[in-house]
Amino acid sequence: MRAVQSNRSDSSRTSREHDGSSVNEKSSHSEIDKSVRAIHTPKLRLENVTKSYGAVSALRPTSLDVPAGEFLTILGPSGSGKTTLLQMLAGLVTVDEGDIWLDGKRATHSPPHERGIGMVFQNYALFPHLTVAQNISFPLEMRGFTQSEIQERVRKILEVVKLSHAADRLPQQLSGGQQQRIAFARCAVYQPPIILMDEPLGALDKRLRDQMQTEIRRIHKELKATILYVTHDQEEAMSMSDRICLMNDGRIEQIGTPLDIYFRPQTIFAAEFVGTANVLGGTIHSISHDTMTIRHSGQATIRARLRSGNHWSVGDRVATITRPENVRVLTQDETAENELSVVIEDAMMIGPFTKIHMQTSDNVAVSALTVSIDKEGAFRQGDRVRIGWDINNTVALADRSKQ
Amino acid sequence: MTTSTLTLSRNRRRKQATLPQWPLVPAVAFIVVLFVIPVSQLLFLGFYDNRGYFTFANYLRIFEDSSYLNVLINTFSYATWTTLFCVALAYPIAYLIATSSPVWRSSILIWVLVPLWTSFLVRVLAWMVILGRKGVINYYLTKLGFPSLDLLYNFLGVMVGSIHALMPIAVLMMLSVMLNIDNNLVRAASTLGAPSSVVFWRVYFPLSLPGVISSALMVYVTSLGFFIAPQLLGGPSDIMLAQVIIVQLEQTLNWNFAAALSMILLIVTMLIIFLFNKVFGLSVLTGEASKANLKTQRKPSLLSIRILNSIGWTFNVPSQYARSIFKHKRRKDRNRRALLKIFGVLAVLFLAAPTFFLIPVSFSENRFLAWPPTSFTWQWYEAYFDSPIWRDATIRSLWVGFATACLSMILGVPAAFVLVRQHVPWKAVIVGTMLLPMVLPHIIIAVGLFYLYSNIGLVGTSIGLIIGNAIFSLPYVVITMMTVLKNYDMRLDLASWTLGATKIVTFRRITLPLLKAGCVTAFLFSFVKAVDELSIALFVADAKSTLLPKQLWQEISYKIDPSLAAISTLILIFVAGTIMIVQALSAIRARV
Repeated sequence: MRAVQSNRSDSSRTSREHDGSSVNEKSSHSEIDKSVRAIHTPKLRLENVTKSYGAVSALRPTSLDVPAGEFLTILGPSGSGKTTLLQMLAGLVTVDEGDIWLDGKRATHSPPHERGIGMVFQNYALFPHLTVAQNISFPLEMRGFTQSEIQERVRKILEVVKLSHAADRLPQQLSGGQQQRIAFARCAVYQPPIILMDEPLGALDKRLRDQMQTEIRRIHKELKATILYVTHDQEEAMSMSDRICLMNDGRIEQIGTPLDIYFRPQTIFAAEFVGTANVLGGTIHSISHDTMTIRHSGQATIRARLRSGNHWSVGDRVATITRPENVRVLTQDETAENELSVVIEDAMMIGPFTKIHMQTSDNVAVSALTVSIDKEGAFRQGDRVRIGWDINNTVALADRSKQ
Repeated sequence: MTTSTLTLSRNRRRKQATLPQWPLVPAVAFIVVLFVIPVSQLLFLGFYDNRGYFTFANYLRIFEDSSYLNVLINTFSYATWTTLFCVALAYPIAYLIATSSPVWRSSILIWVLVPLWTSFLVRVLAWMVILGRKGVINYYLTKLGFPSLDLLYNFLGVMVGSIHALMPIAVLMMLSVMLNIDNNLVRAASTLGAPSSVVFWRVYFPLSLPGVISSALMVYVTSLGFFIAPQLLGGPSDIMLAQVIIVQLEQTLNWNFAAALSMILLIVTMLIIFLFNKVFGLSVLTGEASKANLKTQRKPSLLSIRILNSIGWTFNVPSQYARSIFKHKRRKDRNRRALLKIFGVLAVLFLAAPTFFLIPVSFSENRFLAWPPTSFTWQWYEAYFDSPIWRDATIRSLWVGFATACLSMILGVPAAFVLVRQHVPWKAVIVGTMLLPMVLPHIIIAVGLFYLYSNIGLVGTSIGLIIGNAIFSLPYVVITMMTVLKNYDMRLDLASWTLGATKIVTFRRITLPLLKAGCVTAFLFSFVKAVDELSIALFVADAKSTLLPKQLWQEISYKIDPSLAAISTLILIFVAGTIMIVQALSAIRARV
């Protein structure tokens, strides 16, 4: 686990470090860091960074390491602090406390133009008074490239994004998708080692978005850049990223590969935000060497696999998570490791799959996703059925909601 | 808990300290020293007699002498009628413009803008040509065999001139609100089953009322201190408060009595503004009530919403009633639209056409401003260019106007930056004070400045004139620049920084080019307004340093001949040129 969350109480130390008043402490600190980091320097590191606007804290103490070349997606609902995090990295928002390290160098207070970071903005932020070519050459001019070099690079990147014909147009003469590509080209043209993208595809329609996702993946591999990509679209996050950093309420909720997050969520929030989850509460009834049995309600029990690192004891309140696609509607003589009797509320055929919404005897909503079959009235409303799923597809989480 | 709150507040304080707020200081200091202090001085001056003893005599005199009381009543009834007519006539124009296609919109709008930018004096002169005994209307009446009418030097003349003078502002203020009304609301109301008249009265009209009410306020307070039309188009019974103040200052030199009269004007105006602010909030006035900044803006009070809705109701009831009676011959929407168009075009014609009558008159050989013009001569233009007084006044006016525009830009632009982009304590008070000169009768400010200047010897100096004019143009610069800055997308700056530009380079290459059009508009508007400003010219300029509006005013008062028409024509050309520049610039801005 590379991410660390801590509720640091010792805020005075860091704030002194901030002001740079304690030179000794700082230098010794960074010497140790150097030796430690020489072995494994992350491209980008956040150390207990915080930000608050007035009384509202936008980002609680957050730490994060991103190795070079990674495609990391920051996923979360709106207001979860993802844009704040990104803008801090770019140097557009000041850091209240904590430190930012780029390439092993402290960059907490460096101005944005010295960070060598590229950023693609949500609404593209293309300069309306400059043509497409002028927009793209802007960062090159700022870096003192020669005129011929600028022309060459602009020409090349326009070819990459397939908009060579639009070089002399103004941004507002282009469609949304074209503007998006120009915004990306303007960022990629100077080959920044780190690219930050703030919901870059939010304004595009589904088809265009799919196209651009592939495009961004391709360019990521080509440029070998480290990309931090902010989105609130969980499918986009899973399809594009090496790792996902799930944020909620100004904190990192969970960080891991898409598989980690999807199959091994660590909190109920993570389980419910990424994909759909059937959440069934209960108390631990017994624990064997690798399985625990949870009393759900009445006589119904659910069994879940014990995972290393969890310390459970009998009587703990837990929530079990099961993905709908792992839930089967059982036929009369079929059995499963976990079983529950439910009433069908509704069934929706969505092409390849059919979504079945059901309710347990305690009025807990559960759903199942099965491959569609060509049979009218296979699942009728009001039918009482048994559903079942495997122990291995059941994740038990501490249930904090009722404490 | 305590530590975290402590660090939090420390951080906030540190953050505020680093953001520069000093650019706001010169503008605030300017307004306080040259507007707030002189005007509040008037407050005290009215309570002293000419030997410096405290007395209530000045105020008692106003309320005891029936002639002054009459003037007061006259002034308020005049302002009320002007407001009613202005608003009633302006609403259909604004509605027509707001609901027209963009092409139509800009071509109608230009005919509202031309009179707005044209000098009051020129427009009043035009009415003298039209309404005079030998004027346009009477000429055609007698030709058709009707008896000629007394249209000038009575209340009718005053009303026509004043409505014409103040209507363009009303149109523009209503328009700014109407253009922000979401067209989908109207569509939604009709899909919900409301017939078009109900849609208008219950949905569109209440939504547009903030514009109506703010333009009514603006017209009312302006007409309270308006003296140009009453003086030049009115008769002896149409004397207004502002004229009495001028007489007191210019002829009897009774400072204390003039101050007492100004004070009454000021108190009434402030009372109206105060009530307006209590109910609706002054932000309506600055056109800030747009959707874009609902977040920063104070929510409209419940009372104002109730008032607006109930006004919509009351208008709706009779129209519903009429509908049920005339159900069988209900006019179609298209007819109603055609009617609106005819009315709107007529109203726009009323605004735009009069000044053009001055052009033929300026080439007439007839010594009086009589219609029709006889033969053709350049002599009035020659007279203008040969006269050293006129030439002097023109050059001084242009120079004062230019310097005023520069000064208000230097003060206003940085202030607008701070006010829009940073958290400023007492922001509402600061903005309110800065905008106050716009809504107070100009004459009060001019009198206050005159008193201050006569004490420190600035009367008749260019600096005095420039400062005086800047008090009026500063609010326009601040409002224009604040609007432009609010619409400016800060992300462009952020993007530029991340692309490697420093703050200075970003300002030069990105911010400035994008704000240029707004800056030029603000500059030109304050330039034209300063060239046209009569109150300041009247009091602060002396005989040796006369200005164009003062010279025009004096000439119109004493002798009227086509040379005035010639000068007016030149002013028209100047204004038309300026508007063309502004339109071209706003076209560029719209593209951006």
